[in-house]
Amino acid sequence: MSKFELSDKELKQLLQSEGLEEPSLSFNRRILEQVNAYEHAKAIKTPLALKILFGLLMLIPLVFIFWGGGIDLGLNEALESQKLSIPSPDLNFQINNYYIYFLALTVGVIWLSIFFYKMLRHEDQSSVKNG
Amino acid sequence: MKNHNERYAMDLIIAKVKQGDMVAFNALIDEYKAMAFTLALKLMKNREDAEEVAQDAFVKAYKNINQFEGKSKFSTWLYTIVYNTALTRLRKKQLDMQDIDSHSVEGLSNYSESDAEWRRLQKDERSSYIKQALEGLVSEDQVVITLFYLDENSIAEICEITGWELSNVKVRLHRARKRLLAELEKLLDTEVRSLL
Repeated sequence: MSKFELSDKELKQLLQSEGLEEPSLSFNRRILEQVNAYEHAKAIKTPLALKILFGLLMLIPLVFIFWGGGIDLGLNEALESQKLSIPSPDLNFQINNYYIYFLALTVGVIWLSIFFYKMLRHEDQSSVKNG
Repeated sequence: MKNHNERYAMDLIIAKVKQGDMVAFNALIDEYKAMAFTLALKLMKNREDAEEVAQDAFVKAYKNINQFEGKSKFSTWLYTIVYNTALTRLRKKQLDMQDIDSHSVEGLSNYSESDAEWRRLQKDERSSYIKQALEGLVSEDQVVITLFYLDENSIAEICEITGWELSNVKVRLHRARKRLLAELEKLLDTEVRSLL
């Protein structure tokens, strides 16, 4: 009842003679396409006007929630007691409150999805350690 | 001398990739794609997934090439990315990777005619058996065997790639080798029995 034996050298030779697995022929092309797309996206600068517009869109739900009556933080009372007055924005555009609320909610969802997308992408990229 | 030249050539290629040279990056892919793909395949067990993992790893390597400072070999750094990308993908697929120690080596070593049969087999046949035996191991064993024997990474490099402790790598390598031989013996014994 002999025990099966194979030296380290033999094992290495055998494994190396078996060789490595080869990916498909389009492997390089697909990587280069992704890298080119990344480089292309990096080269595109977002216009300032678009950034401002985007920022405003992001702020709308917050303004609505905190000043438009969504949440009462008691700021007005606090300001009155300090005898300060800050102009409060008039958000009444004669539009049904339901639509305003729905709009704010939609923008909020977009805002959150962008936030989470960026967070996940950052997490994915930061998983690469220095070498 | 050859190694020194190779390393120097690789440093030049990496420097070019850092400058955004696609031809150099293509050369880098050519150099490491087989091993990256093999490593991914050992973990993913599926060629399509393995190819996606290897591709993602190369793209990540490109995006983060400035983080490669030459402290370790480029291959070590790249395989670390491949390994982590594969693990992340596996987690996403909710595959259970907790079966590392489920294979037992007990009762696999007493096959009387396997050794003689092994010596008789032609080289090509041996390779085929090795491949089958390797496929019979769990992912982690396959990874450690592939990295150590196939790509000749040192124990320290395997630690860096996998993030395992030094002692863990040593033990795992030892066990993986034993399991591989046991698998091989089992395959050969089956072959011998089928011939009788």
